Amino acid sequence: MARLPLLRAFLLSAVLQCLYASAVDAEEAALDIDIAHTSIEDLINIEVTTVLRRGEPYFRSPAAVSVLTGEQIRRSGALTVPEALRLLPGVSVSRIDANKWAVSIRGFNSRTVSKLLVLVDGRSVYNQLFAGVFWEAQDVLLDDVDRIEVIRGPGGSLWGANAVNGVINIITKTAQDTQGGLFSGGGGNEEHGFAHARYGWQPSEQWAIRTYAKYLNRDEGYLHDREEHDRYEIFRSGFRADRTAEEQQSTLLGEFYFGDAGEPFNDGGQEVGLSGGSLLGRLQWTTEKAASELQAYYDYYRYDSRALVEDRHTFDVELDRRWQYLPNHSLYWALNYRITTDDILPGPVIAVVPRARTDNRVTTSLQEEWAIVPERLSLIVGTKLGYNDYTGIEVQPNVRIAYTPSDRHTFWGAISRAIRAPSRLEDDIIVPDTLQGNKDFHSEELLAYELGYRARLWEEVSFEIASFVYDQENLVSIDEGKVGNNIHGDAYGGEIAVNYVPTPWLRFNGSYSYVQLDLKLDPDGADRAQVVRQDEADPEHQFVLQTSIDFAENWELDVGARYVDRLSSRDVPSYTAAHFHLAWDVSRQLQVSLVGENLLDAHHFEQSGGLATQVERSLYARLRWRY
Amino acid sequence: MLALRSILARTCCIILTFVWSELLLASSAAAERPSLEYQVKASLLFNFLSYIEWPADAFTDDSVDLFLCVVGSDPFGVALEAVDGELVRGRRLTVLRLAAMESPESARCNAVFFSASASENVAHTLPYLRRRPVLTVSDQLGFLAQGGMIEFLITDKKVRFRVRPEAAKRARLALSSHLLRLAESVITD
Repeated sequence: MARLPLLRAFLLSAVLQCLYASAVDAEEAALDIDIAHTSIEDLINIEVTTVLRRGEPYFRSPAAVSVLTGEQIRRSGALTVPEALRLLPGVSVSRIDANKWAVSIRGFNSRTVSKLLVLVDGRSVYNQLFAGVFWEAQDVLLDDVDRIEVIRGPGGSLWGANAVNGVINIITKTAQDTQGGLFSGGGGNEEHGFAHARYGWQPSEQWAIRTYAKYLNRDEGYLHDREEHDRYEIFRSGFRADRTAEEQQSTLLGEFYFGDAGEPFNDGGQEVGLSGGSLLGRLQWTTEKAASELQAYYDYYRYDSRALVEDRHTFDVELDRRWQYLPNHSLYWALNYRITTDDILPGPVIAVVPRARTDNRVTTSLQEEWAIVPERLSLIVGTKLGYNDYTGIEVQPNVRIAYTPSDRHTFWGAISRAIRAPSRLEDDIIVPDTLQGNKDFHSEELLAYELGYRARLWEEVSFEIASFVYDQENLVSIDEGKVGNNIHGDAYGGEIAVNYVPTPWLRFNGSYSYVQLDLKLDPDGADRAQVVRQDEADPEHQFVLQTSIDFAENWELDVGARYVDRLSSRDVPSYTAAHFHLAWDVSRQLQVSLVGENLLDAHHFEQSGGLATQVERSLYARLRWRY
Repeated sequence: MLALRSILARTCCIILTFVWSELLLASSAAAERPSLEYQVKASLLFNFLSYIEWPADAFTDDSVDLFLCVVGSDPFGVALEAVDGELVRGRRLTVLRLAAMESPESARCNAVFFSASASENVAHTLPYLRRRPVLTVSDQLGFLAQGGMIEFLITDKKVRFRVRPEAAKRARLALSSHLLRLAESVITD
């Protein structure tokens, strides 16, 4: 008897469901444009890949991801990668001098910040010397950048070594998307001159190639009491070839660069010589159920300073595969091997012993992706299992969950463990009577808890919040002249980003980032200074605001400002900087633009210390010609 | 007691079916609605038909429909259904969806759109179509190089198109100068 009402209820709900379904169908079928009555003139001016839509693949991802598109980079007026990164939430960028940068995510901002994985088209560019990035040597032709993805936090098993506090993934356009010629050049009071040139062609139906060159010459910063020595001049050139065939894609990339980055040295100045090159090959193939990738690269660089000369050769090969073995289950695995060999010539103060060293590293990843409810609820469980010559075997597991109750909301959470393996300096540095490396230096460890929420509140507004609590162990310290692992502590904070597009010609982006570190000395540690230095190395609060306007058919105006809180440990006061970019499309081929940066004061410090110079107000004009 | 349990069961059942139906519908509806990119391409495709003049022998008589064929998997979905049956150049437009040009129905096509899934079909169909009065459009990269007439591309986030007038001329189609003016580029042989 009890079965009957239940059955009736089921039938009733089925009927209701059908009615409801047809109502939803009618509503969802509504199109954005009138297919029959929109003119060609209007159609070819509709932006079909707005930032919002473009970000769609990221919408359901269980990590704090932000994306900067090539278009946003062009309209920011940035000439180098770190300048472009200033627009992103949670990224702390400070210019030390005209050529040096400190770029960090969620703590530890300094020139030698480690714990970030930085990739340029799949090639890892953080160095083995201090596990950080020489930003003055790493750059790309920004006109050819498709997007920069930034992941705050450990990123999970998909990302390779050093992805502890974040991943910066720079992806350039394919050669197919950069056909024809481009010349862009200009100059101003601070930017003495820059020129970018690119030419792309298709030698056959399947192949496309581009070659490019970039030159930049930047003026010194400002110091009121000393002479500045931070001139910067760099040239790079390279190519990219892509072959696209059904289900298979091959890419070949090559680049070389050389330049000079000045800095103070023994009461005078010196020019640090930067040079290097790389060659990368990648093969991707897909079948109905699997996507595989094989990539190999060789990278060489030379850092030629009177304090230390480093030559390094790196060879890296990786095979990975994502395999959908059941309708809602995918398995991802990766196998990476890297060998790096160096020769470090000592300077008058610093020596690295042994002078030459070869290191091997093997990283494997395994990850299960389970769509519990397709497009609605997903679970990721994975781990990295690695071996390195410094600390042996390291395990880095993570678990992530994303819940998307409707197309407009995603909630996600993650718990992950990540390590930062020792760098060459921590093991082998010797500064007589001052600093001694430590062969027993352990990896720095992080246990990260993250929670986030993403919303597309209306078609015009998207919103994102991410928060984190970090539990950090074995952080680097210098105890009585010896490198150690005697700092531990917590970090917590979060980032909020809002994107508001009221009409296609007007866009607002804003973000707020907060980070707080609470570091402590281990009982057998002695380096209280380092605790303070690291604890307050980052701006506690940071705001970024950006407005983009298209007007009068062929004009663009971008105005932005950022507030950066003081760096207590470095005596750098808080500052607000404003910038603008005004561009006029003279014709479809030619664009002229004017860019102003750091408009609110004549000069200000963004970092302190012996190397730091002040950033000055800058104005430059640019011409961009495509054919 | 029994009544209470059945009310509870009924409520649970209704709630559950609603939750599940919403989950399923939301995903299927999202899949059916074409992206803005393909809405724009559908509308452009429809617009092109008004700017092209077919030779008299392309149609057996004045009452025959104008056939627009989509070859390969259809990316437009409901966007093209919106114009199915509209009047173009005095003829009723009929949209046909074909798996490949080998299908016998393809003889009726006056305009063909090759979707990305039909890339192999393009290579061996285009030479055969060359002298027939059939407009050929695609968003496959290199479509013009293979002998196609109009190719969609995305430039600066917008849908643009390239035209190869000689290919149309060989097929005895007249493209209006208005269309050529709006093209991103005009490729000459």
